[in-house]
Amino acid sequence: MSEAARERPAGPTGRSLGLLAALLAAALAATVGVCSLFGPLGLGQLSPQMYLARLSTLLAAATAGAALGAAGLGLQGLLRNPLAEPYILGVSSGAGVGVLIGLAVGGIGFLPALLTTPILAFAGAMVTCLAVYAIARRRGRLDPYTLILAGVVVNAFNGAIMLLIHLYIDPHRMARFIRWSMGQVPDVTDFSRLAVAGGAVVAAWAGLLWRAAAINTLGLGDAVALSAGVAVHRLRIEIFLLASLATAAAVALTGPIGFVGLIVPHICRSLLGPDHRKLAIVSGFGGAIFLTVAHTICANIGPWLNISDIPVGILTALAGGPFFIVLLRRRSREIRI
Amino acid sequence: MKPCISLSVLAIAAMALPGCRDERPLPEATEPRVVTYSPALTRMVFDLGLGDHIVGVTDYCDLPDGSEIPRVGDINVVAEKILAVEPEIVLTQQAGAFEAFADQHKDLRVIHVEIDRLADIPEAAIAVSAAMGDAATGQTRADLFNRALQETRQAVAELPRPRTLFLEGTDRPGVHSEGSFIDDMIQAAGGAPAAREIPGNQSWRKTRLERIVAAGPEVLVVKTTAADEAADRDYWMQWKDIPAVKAGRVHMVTDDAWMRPGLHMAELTAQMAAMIHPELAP
Repeated sequence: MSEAARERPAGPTGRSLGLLAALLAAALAATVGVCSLFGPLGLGQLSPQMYLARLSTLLAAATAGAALGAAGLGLQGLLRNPLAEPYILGVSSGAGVGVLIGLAVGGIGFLPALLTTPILAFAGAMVTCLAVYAIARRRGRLDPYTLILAGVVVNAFNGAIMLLIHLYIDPHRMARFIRWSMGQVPDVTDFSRLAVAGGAVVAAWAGLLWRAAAINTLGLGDAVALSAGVAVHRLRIEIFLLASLATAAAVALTGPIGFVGLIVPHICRSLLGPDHRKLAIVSGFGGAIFLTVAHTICANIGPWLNISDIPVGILTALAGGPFFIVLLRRRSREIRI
Repeated sequence: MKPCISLSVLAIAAMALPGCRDERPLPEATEPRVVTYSPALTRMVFDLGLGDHIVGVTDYCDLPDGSEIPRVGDINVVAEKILAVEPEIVLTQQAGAFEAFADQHKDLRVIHVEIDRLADIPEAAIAVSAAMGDAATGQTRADLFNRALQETRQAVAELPRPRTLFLEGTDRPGVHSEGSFIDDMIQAAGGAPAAREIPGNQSWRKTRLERIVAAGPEVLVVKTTAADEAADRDYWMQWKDIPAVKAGRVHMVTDDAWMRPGLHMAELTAQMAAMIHPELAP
């Protein structure tokens, strides 16, 4: 029996998954459409140019949300750890270091400007992923708590590197760097940049979907997965690469936005069960819808709080922090039992 | 008589300056060694012609060509670096950051000078020069500043007041509203501050492109850097929904002096008046 055949337990058919994806794509399109009606300008006053600008912002939010939702699901499945997500494991901050280097040096000679930031973000995310994995791995095993601690340590390390980079930045440009590091969807996103980041996200997302059955098998343990013909080591590398690619694209678009990759897969799992074939589709679309709505709330709630603008990363962190604590306590109770 | 006049000016200046907080007696030294812990204060001391007294500045301070003065800190207060240049006076705009330092080093005078509004500038000039033992210079420069500002106010007094927005950057630009010296400058230059239409309770705040469009500024002054000027101009000139863009009334400024309140603000206010009212331009 081929590896692919062994990895494919009975479950949803391609048609049902396609139908699910089509429904969710329609839901996302409706969400973006509805959200595009909300802004400081009424629809009647909105010129086509401003509408396109607003649409580019919403599409950037959707792209980043899809990336983070899918990456979070991939990392949770791969590490069999419900607390894993790109932000907590330091992958986002690693990508952030790459982006900051790109912004600080203003481009790399042999690369087109459009690709410099995503490539450096991907390199930063990959290095961080490998570092966290190497630190947390003991005798071939990954302890969930060691993994979180490794993420905390690497996050702190990346934070220090970012501060170091700030010291080399012209003080007059500092405000935009600080604002970027809060995590926010830009006012307007160039459609070519959106295409590059969107392409990377779709590729990573499709890759995760392709390996979703193998992740299901891995959920039964390394030994079972190996006996079922899953090349566990190769799978880990693939998922790390795909999660890093998705995270890098998200960070290059919006800066490090936390907890989307934690909240969305959990909500999807509680609604649909543990099958990663369905979850890979739903988490991506769920992340896109989640961040689009969160961005729209942030863009409109400011004046009520007497603030002009709230970076969306603040809202996701406010929602995600308590969510993370609840999960952590539940997880520690399960382990004690 | 002269020493008496000087002493009374010193005394009046020390008592009458709400922007300057220092309860200790004035220095006896006539040529004190001074650390200026803010770019605005460094510029002000040089503008007062007292730059020779400066023995330390921050990393962010601009110095006149040829000046080489030790950099003794940035936003954070590093006592060792400051003490290394053996100052007698530290001039700062950050009162809180220097509280512990002032308590520990009572032999030094830490003088907090507030310059948030345009009206604070002449007071600050008098306070700074008085602290450095030359109150007369401060008074003279303050009078000149007030006179120049008054001339600009008079020139625009009868003119219509177009909505004017001064902003920094492109994505999530920073705007200056009520309570800031930029807001005061716009009013003195004959504009109506459009930033007041933008939600938020801080005098300097980040905002969104759509809120700027909604505020509808008729004149846009964009503070940028020389390196970013072309890109920032292209960015703002694309938004035709902004009346200032449609009318071609977008002005780029790259000099950091715009962000450093000081005696030069009288001249910059006149420049701003010429941007808002081109008919005044020479």
